[in-house]
Amino acid sequence: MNVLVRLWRFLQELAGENAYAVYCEGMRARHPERPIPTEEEFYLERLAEKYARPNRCC
Amino acid sequence: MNAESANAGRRWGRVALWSAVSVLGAGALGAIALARNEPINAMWIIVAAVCVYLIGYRFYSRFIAVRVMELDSARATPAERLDDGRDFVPTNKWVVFGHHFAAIAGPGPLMGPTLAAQLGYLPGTLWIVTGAVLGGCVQDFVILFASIRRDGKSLGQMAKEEVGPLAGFTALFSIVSILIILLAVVALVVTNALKASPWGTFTLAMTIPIAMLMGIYLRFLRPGRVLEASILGFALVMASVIGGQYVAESPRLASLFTYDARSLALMIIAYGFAASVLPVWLLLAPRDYLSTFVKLGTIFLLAIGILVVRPQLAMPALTRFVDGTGPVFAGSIFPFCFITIACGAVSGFHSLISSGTTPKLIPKETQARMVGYGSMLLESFVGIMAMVAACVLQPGIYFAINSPAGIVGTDPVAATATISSWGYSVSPGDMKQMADTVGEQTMFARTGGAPSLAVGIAHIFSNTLGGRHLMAIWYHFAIMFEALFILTVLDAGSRVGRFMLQDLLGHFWRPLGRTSWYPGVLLTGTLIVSGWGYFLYQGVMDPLGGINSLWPLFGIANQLLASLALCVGTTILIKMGKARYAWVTLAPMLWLVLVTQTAAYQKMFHTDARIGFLAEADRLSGLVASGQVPADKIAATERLIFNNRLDAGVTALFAVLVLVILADSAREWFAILSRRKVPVLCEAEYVPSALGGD
Repeated sequence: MNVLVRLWRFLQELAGENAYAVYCEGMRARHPERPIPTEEEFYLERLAEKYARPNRCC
Repeated sequence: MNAESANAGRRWGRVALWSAVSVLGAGALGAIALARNEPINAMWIIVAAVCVYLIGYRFYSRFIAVRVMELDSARATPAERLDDGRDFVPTNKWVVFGHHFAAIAGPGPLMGPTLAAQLGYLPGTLWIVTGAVLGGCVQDFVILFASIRRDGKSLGQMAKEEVGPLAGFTALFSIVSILIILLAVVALVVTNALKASPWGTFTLAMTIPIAMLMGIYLRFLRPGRVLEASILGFALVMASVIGGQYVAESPRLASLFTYDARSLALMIIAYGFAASVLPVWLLLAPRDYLSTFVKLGTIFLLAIGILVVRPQLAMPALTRFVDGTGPVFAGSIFPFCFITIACGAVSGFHSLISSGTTPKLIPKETQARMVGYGSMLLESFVGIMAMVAACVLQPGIYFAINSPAGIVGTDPVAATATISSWGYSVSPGDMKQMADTVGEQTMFARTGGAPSLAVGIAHIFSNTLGGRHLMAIWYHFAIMFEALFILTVLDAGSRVGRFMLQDLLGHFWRPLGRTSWYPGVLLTGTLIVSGWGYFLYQGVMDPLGGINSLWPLFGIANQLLASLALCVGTTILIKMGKARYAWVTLAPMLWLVLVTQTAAYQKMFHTDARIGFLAEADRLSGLVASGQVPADKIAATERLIFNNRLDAGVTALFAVLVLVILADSAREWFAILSRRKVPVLCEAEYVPSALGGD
């Protein structure tokens, strides 16, 4: 059971599901004065960034 | 027992372990080399490959990490220094490994080995293993390291800063040209896999609305919940794989999804254009998640399947086509085996990934060894599995699926008679039975590698699970799996190509460089899609099936990029004062230059019309001039002549680009080595790492 939970956590991290939480934590620590984008804004912005560079190979 | 003797014990344990791995690997290689006339079991190849990988990783990559590049776990990486929670994020090394592997492993390592199987299993297998350990992995590792030391800069920027502006511009220009050929050839593979296949076409068509549904879920319903959406999408895709059978069996529905290669090519071009201008969240990103998980899962299942079934290889070690007369592609082992298999052995495209997102995520320099060298070993293993899957087919069936109609004809009796006369017996009945088993109308002349790979995968899967009556489902699952991520490559590639072209053209006219200016977006998008669309259409209309001319172009292009990356790597090693170790990148680079130059020369000037583009153009011109071409075919033949000359021109361009990069780098090397120039490395400053671990 423990193994399955860990596998799921790993897959979540691989899929970037914790990216927003990590970002918010970092922003609050580094720049507490700056506004934090919503999860949807963050998601869209990350996608635009990701697909503007070669990220899938032949 | 005191600590000293415990250490000595562990040391001897390690020596014993690595000796055992070496002996096992050598034994398996020996068994492969000595088995000449009897079929061998795939396990020998798997064991030999894995032992070579283990030894390569343990010893060679360690040598490169410690002696050559001196990776330093105490030096902060860009992920740590520039951590912004967006681009630069220190990430768990296994997650980085997963990302990197998912990014480098595409259709290439599956298709190349399948096509190269026409030479027998031996040449391709040896090249996949040695090419990866000594070339491909080294390239990926060195470029990743170089980019980590330079704040995650791209290959083009590094070429410009470390070698010179000429190399930098050549890099950008080559990358765009390579992208166009790459996209054309993968689109051709999908077209050939789906032609006259209502089941496959229906399944792939369904992935478009499924991906859009996932996109809406991910944006509006549960933002960023990628796993849930992927599971949902996967269930729907499996339902459409199974549902495809009913479509194929119903005459009315089947007619809606049955197309010839020409119409499919036009639809794929239209799709590529639409997809490259649609918002990313709606189609590209969700399908990318889906295809990544399906890809990782299928590769994992294939490995399990091969271990469970332990199939015999029906293909001989060497076929008669080592003489260069093969029906799948023309040309002898040297140089054509080495450009047919690019991905899986050495793939230049990886250097773009190694200098893309990955260097911005790695928390420790030392982990570049596992991520860079290790991921490529795994991709090479995917290539080995593809080779096994292709070689479990009876050679007669393999050749019937992969030989274009232009060579064996369209009549089943004549085609099977020709193939049997080569010494690989097959009958029209065998082919009919094969088509029925996998739920297709015909399996003749399904060139490109995807259908024969799918038959091989279905063979292995159905022997593991489900037996013969699931063969058709597994076949269409495999076709869906290949087509799904080829479409992702097409649409991600068109988008990236558009950005690169905008970047390039922005130098000449500023507004074209703005990614928010809609006319510029439309113009550059159209240029990229019509670029690959043109070559795709040319391939579809080619009586020899297109793969024969386009795949070698793609291989040459990909190895050109690898030569460029290894050139940049060599320059950096020399500037680091490591000239005595420069052979690490220089040797594979020289090999690739030799391979690409020979292949390019033969593709241009070989007198055999199936190999040389110009010879084929001359042969066709001769036919037209002597009045042997019927009046209604003259226009088409003229186009073929033009296309062959165009392909010769593109080949010449690639060959010249390799030489330009080589000359520009060599000038720099000699200037440094003869102390006429003080080497200046453009590395980021040294900052000690505050992160624990190594």
